[in-house]
Amino acid sequence: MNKMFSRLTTRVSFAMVIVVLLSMAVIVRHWAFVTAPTLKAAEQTKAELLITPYTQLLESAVDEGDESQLGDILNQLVLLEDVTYNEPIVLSLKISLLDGRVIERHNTIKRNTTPFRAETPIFSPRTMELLGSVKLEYNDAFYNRLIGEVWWEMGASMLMALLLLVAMQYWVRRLLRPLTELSNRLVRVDLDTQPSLPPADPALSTEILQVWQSIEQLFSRLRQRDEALESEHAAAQAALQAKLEAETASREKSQFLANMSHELRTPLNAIIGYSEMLYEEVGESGNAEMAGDLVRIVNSGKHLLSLINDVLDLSKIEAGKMQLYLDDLNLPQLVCEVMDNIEPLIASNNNTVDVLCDEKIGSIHADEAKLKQVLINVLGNAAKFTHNGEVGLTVERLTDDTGEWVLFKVRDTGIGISEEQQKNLFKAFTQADESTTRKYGGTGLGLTISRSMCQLMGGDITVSSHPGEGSIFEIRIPVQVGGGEDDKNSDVLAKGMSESLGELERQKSEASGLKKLSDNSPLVLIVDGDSSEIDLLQRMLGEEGFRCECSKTGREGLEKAANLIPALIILDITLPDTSGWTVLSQIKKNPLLLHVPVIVHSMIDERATAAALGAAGYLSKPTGRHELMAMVQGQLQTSDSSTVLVIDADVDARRMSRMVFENEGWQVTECGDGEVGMMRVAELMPSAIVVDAGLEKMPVIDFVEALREHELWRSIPVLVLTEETLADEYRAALLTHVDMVVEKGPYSLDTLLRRLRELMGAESSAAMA
Amino acid sequence: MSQVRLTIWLVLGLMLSEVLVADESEKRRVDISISIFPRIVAVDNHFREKLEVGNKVRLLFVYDEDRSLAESLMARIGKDGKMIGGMKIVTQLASVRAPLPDNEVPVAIFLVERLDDAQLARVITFAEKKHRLLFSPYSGDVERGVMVGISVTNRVKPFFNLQALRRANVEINALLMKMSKRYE
Repeated sequence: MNKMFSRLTTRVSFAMVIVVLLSMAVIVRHWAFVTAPTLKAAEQTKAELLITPYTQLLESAVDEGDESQLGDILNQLVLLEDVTYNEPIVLSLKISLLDGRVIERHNTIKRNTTPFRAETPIFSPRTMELLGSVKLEYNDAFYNRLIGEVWWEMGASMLMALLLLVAMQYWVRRLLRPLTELSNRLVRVDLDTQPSLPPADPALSTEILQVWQSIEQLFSRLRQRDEALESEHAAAQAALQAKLEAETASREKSQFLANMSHELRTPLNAIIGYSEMLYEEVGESGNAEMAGDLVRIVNSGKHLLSLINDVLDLSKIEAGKMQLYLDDLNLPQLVCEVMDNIEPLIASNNNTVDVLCDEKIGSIHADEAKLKQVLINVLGNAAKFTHNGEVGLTVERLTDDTGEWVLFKVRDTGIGISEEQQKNLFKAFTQADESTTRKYGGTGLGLTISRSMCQLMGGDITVSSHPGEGSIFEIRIPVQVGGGEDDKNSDVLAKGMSESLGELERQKSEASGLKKLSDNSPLVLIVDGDSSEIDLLQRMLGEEGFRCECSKTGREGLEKAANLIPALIILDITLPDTSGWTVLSQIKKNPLLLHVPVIVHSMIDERATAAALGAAGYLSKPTGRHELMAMVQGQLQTSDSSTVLVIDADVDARRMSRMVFENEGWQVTECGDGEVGMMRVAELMPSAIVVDAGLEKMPVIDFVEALREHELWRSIPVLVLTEETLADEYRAALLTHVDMVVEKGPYSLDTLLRRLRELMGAESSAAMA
Repeated sequence: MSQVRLTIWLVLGLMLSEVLVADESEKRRVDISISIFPRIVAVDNHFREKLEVGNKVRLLFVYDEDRSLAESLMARIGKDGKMIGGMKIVTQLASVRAPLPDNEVPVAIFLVERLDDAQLARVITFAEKKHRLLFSPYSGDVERGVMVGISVTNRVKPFFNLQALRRANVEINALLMKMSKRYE
């Protein structure tokens, strides 16, 4: 700031000096080159004008030879005096005649300067002849004095200007000094502590003192604001700390709940599983009393499990970890499944059921498990609180400004809910009142969880009820629940497939040394860190006629899978040596195991991750026997059915092939070029391949040669369809690798189908043998 | 529209006033010149050799259109029996559109009106050929080749074209030449 003032002062001073000097230069130049010459010319004119009127007098006197008159004229001229400077106007007069005579008059004034001169000819007025000339010296005293005075004035003015300049500079500096000092003080003020200025010097001018006081007032307000900010900051810090502590506590609580649920469900799984098995064994032996006890054990275990599941769901909701697994759901089918599940409970209280759902209502894109859980929960409540009454479910499609919805309306003629009770209905651990809890049981989490799930899907649950008149629960779910998990999963699967092909090359040499068990019953590999769980699964599967191999660690599981090539793998995620996800990804990277279906069996609800990594199914622990068997048999049936891979760039041709082959009961997978076809082969191990000869990216001969390089794929029948008649040599080369080459035509598909039937039949026979 | 008319009238008025002022100025120059012209004739160093028979000073006044002006000037110069160097003055009138008189050569020639370039050239050629002094009162004519005119500044002085004088072989008194204005 100080520097700025100093620099400013120097600049201003310099500018002022320049302005003054320039002004002076302009004035001097104007004087020297304009005014002074003009004055000089004016004086010269005066000299000329003075001599002109006397010329005629002089001409007459000279012409007439009147010397006395001539002398008088000359004397008169020489006597003329300027009153402004009291000196003679004419310094000298000289008449030079052509006859040699000279007549002159002088004023004896000593001068250092050259006077103005005027000379004019003298003619004879009579003869017009030239007689001579008259020369006049004009006094330049006036001009010289004027010039001198002007120079002196200019010098004095310049001096005055310079003095004024110096004085002004002095005053400016004096005026700025307190401001400079103030700026210096302001620069040194420590804004981090208590901003303040030292007391102002009372000798300063009033204006400066006012500025000083204003700044001090500003600092005072700054101090007040800082204090206020500090207190606000402290309060905010305390609030933030409290929030962090609360969040930590909430996280810890959720984690505790999740851990506890896990720890509780593990033994409970064993209890339920073994009780069910004991019940079946006891039932077969006819011990009804013990069977009744075992039923009670199973029911109590299942009840306890549902409570634990509720607590686990709630902890997930609170932790924001609840995920959606969206799928297109056929609504009539969904309703049927739900009602099949809940009808026994409704009937147990002697209630009737009324379901209204149009068969053409269509589908909904939502999370099947969560939607079912919500409906079962609400219908279960209706059944639980209604005796000898009616429970109804109506499903409708609604369209309003906010979009298209599916409305599930659950009504009952039960005890109803008061307005006061409705306020707490969706709050966790809250039931209508304590007597309700005592009478009907439950954790009070069901509706809380249901509402959260609905809200997660973009919908909601509302209730309208009056005590004694029953209740109506309305569940609104968007027809198209948002989310792109399916696409994401597809991408991950595609990536995994691509990696598989690279792995295939590295491991092809290992393929020759592998062996398959000769036993015809499907082999299931169980990889689980819990011995009791292994034992339970083994017994369940064994009873259904499956062979089982077990591993307690991931590493051992991978080795066994690679050596035995099981028909199915049941994989736990919580393993002692590695994560089940790692094992799953390793399985899906191995081309020999790529086609083996893997069912993830875990307490961790990570369906999306499992699907992304290539799992064929997901079972949540504890798993009931029926659920397990349904999943296992479903997966094995899928892998057992014959699959035909159709490779053709023409979409319509592929579609036609699909229709024909699906009519034969075969599964069909199709793709447009050979490279993708190789990936599909690695992924599916198809029973047969139908390939078009006109592939663009990869010629069919290259495709079949690459296919036959791998031992596992050498036996896959390949049939080639061609639009053009192939050259004999090319056809012969193809036929060394493929089973048939058919030219496209009206009966080509029939020919192809007959040959495929033969080949697939032969393959089945070979497998049976 | 009225403003345009007013402007046109103002411009025309200004042009007319300029013409009038110029005319007035030239008239004054002619008036002064007619009194100076005899003195200039007298300072020709060979003035006496150029007199005609009877020692008369023949002065030729050349005009273009304004004959009356020429006649009035002639009358003024010959007024009251004026003489030059003690010799009687004889004036002669000649139109520039007619051949200039070759038989009676004047001592000096006075241009009564401002002539165009061709006319002036004819008169100058005539004067130079006859070695006679050619005087023009009009501003700018000395620069165009006329031998002598007047220079009006703070005083009226004779104005000589030295080259024209040399071409015509006319010599002027050195004293007067020193006090006059000269054009090289």
